[in-house]
Amino acid sequence: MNSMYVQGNSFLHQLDPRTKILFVFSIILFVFLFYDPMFQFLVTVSLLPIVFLSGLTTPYLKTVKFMFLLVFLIITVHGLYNPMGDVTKVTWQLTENLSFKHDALIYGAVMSFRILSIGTATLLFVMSTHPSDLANALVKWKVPHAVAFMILSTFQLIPIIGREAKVIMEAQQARCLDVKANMIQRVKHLIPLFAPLFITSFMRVHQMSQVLECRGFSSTGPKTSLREMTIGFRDYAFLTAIALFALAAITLRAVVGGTLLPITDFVLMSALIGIWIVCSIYFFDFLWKSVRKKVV
Amino acid sequence: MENKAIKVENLTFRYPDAESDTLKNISFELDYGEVLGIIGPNGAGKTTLAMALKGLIPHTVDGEIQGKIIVDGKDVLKHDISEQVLNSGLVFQDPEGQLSQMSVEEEVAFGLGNIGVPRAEMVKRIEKALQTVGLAGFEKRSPLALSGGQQQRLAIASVMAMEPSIMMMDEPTTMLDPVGKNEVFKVLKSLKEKGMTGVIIEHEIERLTMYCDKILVLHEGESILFGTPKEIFSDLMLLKKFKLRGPQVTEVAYEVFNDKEQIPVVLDEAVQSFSKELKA
Amino acid sequence: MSAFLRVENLTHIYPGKIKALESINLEIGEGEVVAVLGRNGSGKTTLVKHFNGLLKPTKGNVWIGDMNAKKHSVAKLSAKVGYVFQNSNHQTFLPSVEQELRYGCENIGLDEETIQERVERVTELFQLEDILETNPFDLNSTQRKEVGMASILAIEPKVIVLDEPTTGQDHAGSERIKEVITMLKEQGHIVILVTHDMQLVGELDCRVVVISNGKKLADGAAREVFKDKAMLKEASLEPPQVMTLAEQLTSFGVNDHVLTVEEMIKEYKRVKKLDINKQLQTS
Repeated sequence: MNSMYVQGNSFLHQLDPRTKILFVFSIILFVFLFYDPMFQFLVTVSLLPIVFLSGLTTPYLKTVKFMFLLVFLIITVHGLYNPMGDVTKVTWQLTENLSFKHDALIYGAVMSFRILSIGTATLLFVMSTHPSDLANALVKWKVPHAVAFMILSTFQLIPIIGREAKVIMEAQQARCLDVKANMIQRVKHLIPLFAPLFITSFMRVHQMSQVLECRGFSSTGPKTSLREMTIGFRDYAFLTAIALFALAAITLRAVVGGTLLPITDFVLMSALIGIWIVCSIYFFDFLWKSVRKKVV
Repeated sequence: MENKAIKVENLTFRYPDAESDTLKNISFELDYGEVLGIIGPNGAGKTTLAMALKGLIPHTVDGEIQGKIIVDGKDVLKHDISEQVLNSGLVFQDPEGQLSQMSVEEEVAFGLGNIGVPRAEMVKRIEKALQTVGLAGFEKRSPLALSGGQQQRLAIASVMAMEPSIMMMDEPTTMLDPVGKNEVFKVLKSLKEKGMTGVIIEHEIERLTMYCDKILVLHEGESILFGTPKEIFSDLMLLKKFKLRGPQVTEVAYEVFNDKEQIPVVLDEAVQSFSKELKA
Repeated sequence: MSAFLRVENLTHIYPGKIKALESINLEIGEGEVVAVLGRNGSGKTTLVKHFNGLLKPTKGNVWIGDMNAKKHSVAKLSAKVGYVFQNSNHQTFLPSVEQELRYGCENIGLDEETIQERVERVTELFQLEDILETNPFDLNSTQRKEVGMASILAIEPKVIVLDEPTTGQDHAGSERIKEVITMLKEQGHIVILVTHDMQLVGELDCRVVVISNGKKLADGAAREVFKDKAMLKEASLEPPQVMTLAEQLTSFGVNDHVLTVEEMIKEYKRVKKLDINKQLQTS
């Protein structure tokens, strides 16, 4: 697969890419309106049913683990070392001079769940939207044809360049380049690997530009597309729901402020430990798989 | 003016900063329904000529160009490439480098979309083109997951679907394995039977002679021979002088037959004429 | 003494359990030219990539002299097995031909004097004197191929693997590469070709190994192997055109042993002469 798109026929798949782009933006808006880990957590969790209903559970769980690694680092490192707010207010004293501070932990938790909810929404979008549809949607939004093509062709180019890089790596090893040498040597070796890659990629792009000319890319006049896209009832319903949520959220923000409920130590500890648990599940899964691979 | 598919008059081209002309005073004509093969050593200017016929030169590549090129009744030098997509289409050497879309059907649709072919018509043309190159049933596949031969056939289908009057191909089989080569040549054969007008650059001389009505021999930018395969290969000594060779069967016949006018250029013909000679 | 390059019961399975090679046995001795034939995806490239350690056997062993390829790095093995890639652009990146020639030698840590000596040797061998200062990208494809081969040869490997050396080459280029291969053979190198060019194989008149679906289908002199039409078909190979011509003329007494145009001419003349003699006798 060249992109992260997962074929399907769910409600989400059938939405217009433009609707989904608005959806991602609205999630970003929600999570930045409030500075409250509980709320961010709720947004994240409320996205999970959509993941399930779109039939994207397995690919989602596979991809989200990289996000969890990041989130694990953020909440842990911030909680321990971020000197923001009241540093005397300690939530969890680990050792004499190592402790999770209350304010720092709030920041870490908010950031973590922001990343998770925005990440989930984006994954939902990318996994349910065919890249060609994305390009088409952009064209409809008056993004120039050429820019939309560039975005689309990136999806295509990445695996090709990846494969090319492997061939070049082998070709240079065949010239006695020791790729397993020490770090300094390896940095020096970037030139023999990247120079040919750059040249071949450049030649490839140059040729592509000629191919495009021959296919009438720069011909003036209206363009058509094989993929049909119409904004229908579904999209309007979905957009209305988003608009209602947004309205509610903005009102809430205006009336109550950035924090909805008082943030207790219990909430923060749950966030921290929760993220640790999920991360360790992924970690043990990874360990188990590598061991099994070695044995088999 | 009589109706010629391609008419080239005194074409001369020089790349910027080059010391000499890459194409020197080339002239030839091709009728509709004919296939022209262009042969010559590397660096003879074959690809440059194809690019000029397609209009990539001078419209995307700089250089000094002189002379006249009329393709399908259109003056190539005076019209932008986008105005010539219905007159001629070009298939490139590198199969993968020509593919930019996410699926086979979209690849074919891409060119059609660019020239604004309505969706209903598009669907019909895609089906027909994929049928012709034997890729029906592959519509949803990723072009990157195809073999080299399949990729090149897809590239041919993508050009063909735009229905240009003249198909041009620049070494379409060079980067393919024997199976891929066979696949592409089979497509060429069926196109030829359907009366395609075309220009093919090809190293594989044994195959080329089976599909060509005319051959143009280039050497260092000059057109040294132009004619039917028989005419070209009846002067094998001249070709040898330019470090070119004929089909293997032709080379044998040239050595052993007295009548140079009768030498065969394709295998079937060779089997017949050798049989005749041996019977006599 | 056993052969320099030995493949014992080699099986290679790619991740995802794709079996690319199955129980291959092969011995290649000094001064041999071997063409490895097969369609794309047959496993022929997988096979030769074991020779310089780019791939490691899943089962079995590959021996390069007394080195077990499993236990040495690609960089180490490449000093014994030179591998010239199909696309010169993947190997070439330095601004002058001379630097290209020096590059491999520098990687194996030779002293300046030895490097000089080797560069001079390959320069002479390939007649590169006039283009030493040239940027490889300004050369034509035949010259670039030669520079690629020369830069590998400067490392002085015993075995040289040429991946599709004639693809994209014109007649003159192919002739030149044929000369180089013959020259390398005479110097005692082992030359291994991975190729689709049956005409080249015919003219080299060398040993061929046919790979199909990861298995060795045939191993022997081209002349003999090419006779097995069923096997060729299975491997999607086509013999040179003259061989097919000869086969279709066997009813006239033509021997289907021919591999090249020259041999066919000779064979035709022989049969024709016999004919004339016969006619003379009967009349």
